Amino acid sequence: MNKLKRVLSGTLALAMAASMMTACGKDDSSTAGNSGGGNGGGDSSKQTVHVYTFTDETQTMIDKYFLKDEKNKEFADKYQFEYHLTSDANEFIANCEAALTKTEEAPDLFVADADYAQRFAENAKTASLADLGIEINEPDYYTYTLDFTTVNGTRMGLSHQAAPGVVLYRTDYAEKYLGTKDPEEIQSKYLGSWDQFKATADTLKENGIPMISGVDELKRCFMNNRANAWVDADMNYTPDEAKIKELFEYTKSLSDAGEVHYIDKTQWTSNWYTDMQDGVFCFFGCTWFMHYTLKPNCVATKTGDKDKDGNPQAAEADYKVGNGSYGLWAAVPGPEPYFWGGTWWFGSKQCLDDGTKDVVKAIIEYFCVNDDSMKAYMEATGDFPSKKTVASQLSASNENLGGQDHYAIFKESAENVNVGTCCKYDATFNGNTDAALAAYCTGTKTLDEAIQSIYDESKTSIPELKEKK
Amino acid sequence: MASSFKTRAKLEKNHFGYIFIAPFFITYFVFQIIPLINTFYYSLTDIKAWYVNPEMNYNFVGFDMFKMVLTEASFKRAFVNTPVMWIMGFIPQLLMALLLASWFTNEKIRVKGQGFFKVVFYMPNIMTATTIGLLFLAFIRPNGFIHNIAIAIGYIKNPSMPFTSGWFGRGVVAFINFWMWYGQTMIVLIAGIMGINPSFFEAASIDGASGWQSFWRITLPLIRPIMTYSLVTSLIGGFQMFDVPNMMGNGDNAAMFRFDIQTIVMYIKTIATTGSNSIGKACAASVILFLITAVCSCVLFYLTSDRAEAKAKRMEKKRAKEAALQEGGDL
Repeated sequence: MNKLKRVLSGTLALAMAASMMTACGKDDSSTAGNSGGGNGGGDSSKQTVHVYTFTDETQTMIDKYFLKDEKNKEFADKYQFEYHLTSDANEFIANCEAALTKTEEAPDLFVADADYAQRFAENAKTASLADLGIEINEPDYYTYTLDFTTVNGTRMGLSHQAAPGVVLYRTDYAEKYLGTKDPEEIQSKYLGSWDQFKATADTLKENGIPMISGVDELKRCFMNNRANAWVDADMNYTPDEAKIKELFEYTKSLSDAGEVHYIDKTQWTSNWYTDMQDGVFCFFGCTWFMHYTLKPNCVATKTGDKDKDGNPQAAEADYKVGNGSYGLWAAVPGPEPYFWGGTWWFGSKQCLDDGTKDVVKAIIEYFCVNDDSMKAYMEATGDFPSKKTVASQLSASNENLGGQDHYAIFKESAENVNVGTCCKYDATFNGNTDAALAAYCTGTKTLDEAIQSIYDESKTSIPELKEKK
Repeated sequence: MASSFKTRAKLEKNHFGYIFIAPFFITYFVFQIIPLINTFYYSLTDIKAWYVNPEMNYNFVGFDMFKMVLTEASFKRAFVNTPVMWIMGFIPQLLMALLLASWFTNEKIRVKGQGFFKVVFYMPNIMTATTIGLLFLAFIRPNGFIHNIAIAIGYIKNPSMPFTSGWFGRGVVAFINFWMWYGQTMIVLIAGIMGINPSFFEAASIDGASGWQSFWRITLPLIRPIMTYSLVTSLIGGFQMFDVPNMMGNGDNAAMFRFDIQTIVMYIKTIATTGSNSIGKACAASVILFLITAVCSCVLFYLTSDRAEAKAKRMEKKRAKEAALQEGGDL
C-alpha cells in the first residue's frame, strides 16, 4: 500500500513538473492566429514581422495594398505579419515603449499618431531613416510632415499622409437654410471666419439643426494655432492661455446657445458616429477622416460583415447617394488652417538586427517615398499624400462630396500648417484640455478653474513640470 | 533505536509536503515579495519607467515624492472618492445580503427555488467588471436609457447636457459594486448562519422568541466573525477599487465626472503610465495606499472584536491575580 502511494505521488509530481515545462514552451498556434490574412496564416518557414499600431488602418494598408502588389511578392513569400493593435493613446505608448525594450516580439515596424510621434522619434530604440537606408528628396515633402519627427537634425520617421484639416458640411442643410450649397460661397460667406461660423450656427439653430456634434470638435482648429508648445526645454509650463481662453469661450458660446448637439466629449463615441448619418451641420475633419471615419459611418444601412466588436460594417454596395447622408457632404478650408493627426511610420533598431530591415524599408518606401505606389494608395482611398510631387498629380471627383475635388482644398490647406509648437507630452496635455473644456461647457468649473485644472492634472503625471513663470 | 527511526520517517514525509507547496512560495517570493520590497525602495527615488529610461538611472530624493503626492489636489480627491464610493456600496450590500441570507435559512419561510435565486443573485459577480462598466457607461451617456429617463422625469432639462453631478457618478460606481457583490456576501453569510447550532433556534422558539428576536439575539452575534471577514476583505478590495471606475472615466470614455470617480489606484496608474512615467512617484503613492489599508484593517479588527469578552477575560485575570496575591498575603 505504501509503495503504491509512493508511486502515485511520484507520478503526480512528475505530471506537475511536466505541465510546468509545457507552459514555458512558446505557443506558436496563438501567434499564428493573429497574423495577417494576405499570406496564408501561420507558416513556420516564414519570419514574423511584428507591427505595433494604434489603428486598424495599418493592417489594411499592409495586407490589402503592400502585399497584394505583384512587385512585393518576394516579401509575401518570406514574411508573415503579426499586428499588435492598441487604440487608446496612453495604452499604446506604454505597450509600444515597453515592447521596444525587449527582443521577443519587439516591434520591427511601428506607427505613431501626431500626439506622440515626437516622443517615439526621441526613443533610443527608434532607427533613423539613414539607419534603414531610406533616402528622400526633402523639398518634395510638405515640410511639417518631416519636421515632426526630426530629432537634432536627424530624420527619424516618415508619414505617408499630410493631414490638413477642413470643415465638412451638409449640402442639403446648406441649400435649405443658407440658400446655397456652393463651397466657395459657403467659405466666403458662412464658414470663413469664427464670426461667420457663429452666425451660421445661429441660423441653423433657429431651424433645429445643431452646428457641431460635441464640445471637442473645435479644439484642433484653435490649439494647433497656439503660439508656443505646452512646455519649454526646462520643463516650465508655457501654455498659450490666450488661445485656450479663446477656444473655451467660443465653444461655450456655442453650447450655451444650444448649437452643440452633445455638451460632452463625443469624438470616437457612438453619438459622434450617429451624428454623421444625420443630426448636425458640420464636422471638423481632415484627409483620413473623410475615408476612414466619415464615409463608413455616414451610411445608415450597412449590409457588410461585422467587425471584431460585432458592429455592422458598410459594404461597397451601401455607398450610394440617399443611404444616410452619403453624397450630401462638401468640404471647405474653414475659419483657420489646422492639421489633425497623421500616421508616422518608424523602423526600430530591432529590425536592423533580426533581418527584417529589407521588408520594413520596403513598406515605408512603398507608402511614404515611392511616387507611383503612394499615388495608387491615395487614389484608392482618397487620402492625401505627404509629398507635394504626388499631390500635384492627384485630382478626384469624390462621390461622398457630391463630386467635389477634395484634393484642390487640401493642397491649399497643407501649405499653411504650422507644427513648431508640439512637444512630447502633447498626449497628456491635450487629454486634460478635453476634460477641462467639457467641465467648463457644462458649467461644473469656471473658466479659471478649468484652465488651472489642465496644469494640475498634467502635473500629476509629469512631476518635473514647473509652474508657469 | 526504533524511536529515532520513526522520527526520521516522519521528517521525510514532511519533506514531501515542502516540495508540493514550494512552487507557490517560490512564485510568491519572486512575483510578490521582491516587487513589494522594491516598491518601498523605489518610492525614495525619482526613477522613470524602464521603457523611457532604459539605463535605469535614478537619484535618491528622500521623501520628496511622498511630499508631492500628499500635497497634490488630485491625490486628496482620490483619497476621498475611494472610501466614499466603498461605503456607499458596502452598506446596502451588507444589508441586502443579511436580509436574503436570513430569509434563505429561515426554517419557517422555506423559500422555494433557492438554488435558482442564489445563482441569479450571484450572476453579476461572474461577469467581468469591464463589461459591466462599459454597459453602464452606455446607459448614462446622452442617448442611453438612464439619460433618457432623466430627461423624461425632468431631472435633466437640456437634452444635450450629460450627467454632470459627481455624486451621480459616485452613486453609479457604488451601485455597480453593490450589485456585483451582494450575491457573494450573501453566500458567505448563509454559510455562517448554517454553521450555527440549530438547537439554539429551537430553544428560542420554545421560549416564545419572535423571528426578529432570534435574528437579533442569536444569528447576528454568532455570525459576527463571518461579517468581520466580509468587512475586512471588502475594505481592502474597496481601497483598491479600480476596474469599474476606470472603465467609466478613462481616456475616450471621459464622462463628465471622470475626476469625481477617480480612485487611488487609478491615480497611481495615471502617474505610472502617462506623462513622464514617474515610477518613483507611483511607488510613493502605492506605499501610502498600503499604509492606509493596513491602518484601516487594524482599526476594523479592533472595533469588531468582541470587546466585552476581552474585558471579561481581563477582569478574570485581574481577579485571579488578586486572589493569588491575597493567598500569598495569607501565607
